Amino acid sequence: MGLLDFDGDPLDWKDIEPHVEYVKHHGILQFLNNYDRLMKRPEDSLKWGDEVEYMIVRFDHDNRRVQLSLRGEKICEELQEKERKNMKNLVSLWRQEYATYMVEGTPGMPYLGYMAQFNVVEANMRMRRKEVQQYLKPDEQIMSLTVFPRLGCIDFTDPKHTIVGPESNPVSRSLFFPDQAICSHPRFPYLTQNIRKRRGEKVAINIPIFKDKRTPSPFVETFIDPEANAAAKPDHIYMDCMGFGMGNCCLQMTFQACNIEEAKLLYDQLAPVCPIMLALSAASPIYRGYLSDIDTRWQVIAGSVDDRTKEERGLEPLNKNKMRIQKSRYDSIDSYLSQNSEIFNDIKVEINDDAKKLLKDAGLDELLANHVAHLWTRDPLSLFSKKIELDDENETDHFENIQSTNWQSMRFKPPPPGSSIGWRVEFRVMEAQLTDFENAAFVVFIVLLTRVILTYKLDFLMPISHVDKNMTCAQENNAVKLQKFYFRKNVITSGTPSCCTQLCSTNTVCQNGEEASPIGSSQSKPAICEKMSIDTIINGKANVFPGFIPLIRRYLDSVEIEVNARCTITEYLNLISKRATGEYMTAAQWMRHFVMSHPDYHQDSKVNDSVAYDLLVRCDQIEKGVVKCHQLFGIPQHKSEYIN
Amino acid sequence: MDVQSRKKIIAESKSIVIYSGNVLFKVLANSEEICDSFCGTLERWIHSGEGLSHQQTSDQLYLSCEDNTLDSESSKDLKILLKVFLIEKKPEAVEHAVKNVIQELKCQKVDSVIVSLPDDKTTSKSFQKVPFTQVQDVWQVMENLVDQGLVEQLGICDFDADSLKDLYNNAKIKPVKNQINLANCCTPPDDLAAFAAENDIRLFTHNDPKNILPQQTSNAILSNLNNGGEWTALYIARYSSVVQLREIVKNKGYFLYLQKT
Repeated sequence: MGLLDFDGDPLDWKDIEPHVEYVKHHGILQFLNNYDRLMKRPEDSLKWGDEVEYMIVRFDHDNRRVQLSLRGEKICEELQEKERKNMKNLVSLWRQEYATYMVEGTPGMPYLGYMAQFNVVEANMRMRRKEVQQYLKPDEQIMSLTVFPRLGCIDFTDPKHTIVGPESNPVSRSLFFPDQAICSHPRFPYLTQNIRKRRGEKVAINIPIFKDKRTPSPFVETFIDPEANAAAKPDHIYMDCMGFGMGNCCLQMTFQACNIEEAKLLYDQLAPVCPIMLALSAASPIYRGYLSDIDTRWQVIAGSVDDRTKEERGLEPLNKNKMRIQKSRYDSIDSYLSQNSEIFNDIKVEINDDAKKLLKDAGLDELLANHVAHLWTRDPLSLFSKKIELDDENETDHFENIQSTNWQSMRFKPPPPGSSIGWRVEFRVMEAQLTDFENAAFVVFIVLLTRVILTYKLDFLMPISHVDKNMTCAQENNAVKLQKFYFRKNVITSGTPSCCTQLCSTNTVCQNGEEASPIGSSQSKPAICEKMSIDTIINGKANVFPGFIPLIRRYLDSVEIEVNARCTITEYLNLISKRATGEYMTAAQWMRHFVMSHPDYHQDSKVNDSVAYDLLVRCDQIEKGVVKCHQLFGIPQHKSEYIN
Repeated sequence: MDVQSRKKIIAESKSIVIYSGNVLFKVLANSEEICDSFCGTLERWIHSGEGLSHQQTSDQLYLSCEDNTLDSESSKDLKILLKVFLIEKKPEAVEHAVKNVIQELKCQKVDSVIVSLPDDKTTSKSFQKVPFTQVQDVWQVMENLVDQGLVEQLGICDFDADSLKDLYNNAKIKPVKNQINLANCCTPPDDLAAFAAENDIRLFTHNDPKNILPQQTSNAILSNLNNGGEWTALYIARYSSVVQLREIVKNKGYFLYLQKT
């Protein structure tokens, strides 16, 4: 999460409320002031970078248990020493994250557009881990684990914090996650409590539990807190605060496009790719010590920051609130941005009318105005007393406030004022993998995919409602092998003007100037997309779909790549390809398999201390290369090397 | 123009160049398929000329596919890479290929030329053993092109360490690239990697077959010309036009050069 400079006192929700309209209004003005300047930008080059979030895990070997070390915030401060001293050419940059057991690392400089850079990504990630290791205690390890399996279980932190009831945690009122695990920068605790206060109750995250042979049916937990008992659903794992979501790690990346049009194009084209990558990178099947029936963190985080009131959620008639809102402020995007994509914006999207009017009056195009006005349906949740009146010409805090607390599958980022950074797109869905090899592979794969999209003018666009359907499927247990995903069949449309392409897709006859019929109307038309497996989408299938990897390989044959980079890329493509066929397991499936074959697992969905300990010891060994895990990225050649 | 007139043009020509046009968007077509398509192109021109344009200079027939849109990318940002696959070892072929590309792409020069020597069936799967004497004449033509300002950098492909050393030590303008096929070995042989590193020669990869124009394809193409005299294929040249620092390919095409013997 971004850190804003702060000045003055952080405000409680009730003190933010009177300023909501002001902040929103000035946020738009700040955006518009910036936008005018930006339209005159010269063309930017390709720059990109990854962000990996890590947890500091403490291994209590004597007692065979694992905990999250709350020293992460302090370690991060030490890591930032070099940045504070304004040292140049740093290998990596560090940021605090929501939880005090987390640190976030990025490369010191963005990667540039040439092919050899692909060979640097993994090495840089390795150096980041080495940097952190200097500050760790002997029983601590740094892990890029998406979800800590015993997050929220008794004494899961080091130091321990006993929770007797919601009153133990004034900020979150959580029964499970101590306030002391929330980063102390005031933005984080205030966000946490303001979400709760705006919503009018604690957040309630309910994740379906995996029903094993001896799991109680129905599975019901009884809590000391009546609010929890009312909110917890039977057969679900109940979680009750922001920490359960924002305390997870993910793998993100950002690209700079050459101009706003290319940024919009990449944003649109990557949207249908989001659910595919979520399913492929799935790494989180265990929540609060239970095996769940989902493999990814997505809906957990969505629930963890859901500040919508009952009215907005449609549970009560509208009175105080202006409108119903379909999604949490953390979820998938709701609309495409480029002119040509308009036809596929088939979700009804809530709009802040005041914001939209300001944007349209200033000359912004309809789609971008809708996009920003949609983000502006969310209220600011953190505000500082001395940072209310700003210089709208040169400061963008109010814009960033709302922009950065809309956490979506992708983010469209305007250049910050006074810098040489251009228009950027952030790709945010992927789950953190255990090893740098895998993280680098996923990152490089996406960058290559963008080069392929731009080279061959590929078109992945399909109704955005289908992308949302795919997002739901992508989270399922073993989605990568069992689910089918809507995907556009005809992605190679270059040579045909794109407006014609869309008309051709939705009509049997293409006639210039004619309106395309609405998608899904009763006339029979060739369908633009088809349900395909992840394998087909990634690896291709004759006469069905070309496949991302065959397209990438074709591209690689047309550019110059040195042998080292080519070898590395081949390894990465191999990993992605085999995850897609199921020859290699996703991290999520591997973790399930590990838990379910463990002698201390009793087929009741419970992941106790002993199982969690062994699981994380193994994860750490795999990351360090001490143990080879052939199921994750290799097939055993000899039986004796086969490791669970 | 009718079939007879076109056959007459062929009979009068001493060389034929067929340009594929920009094949970048024939995304799934590989080099074999492009080469196959030359046969269809020639046939089509003889019978109808549909979709093709032709130019007749003193003794050369130049055929080009009409769908070759040039993107409006400013030329200063484009890197033009050319690989000339010699079918017969005729040194002047490289100069000819370079000039074709410059003319078609309307550019000042080609950033790099890599020459692929004719398949010597005695060599190992991945590498060729080529003493300098065998590549000398071709290399000299390439050096001339650099001197003329038409080419920036020179490269070779599939050379093993000894051949590369020999070329490097004897060449006036040194090779800066050696393109190798890693299909059979994931890493380059140590001696090759070491020599390249010490002498600033970059090792790139390619995925081209040993013989880009199989005999069968060549025969099929030439069968269209039987009435016009004895012809052979001299070279195939392939270029890519890539936007620097964004690594987006804008244009990709092939030339086939046929010569009357």
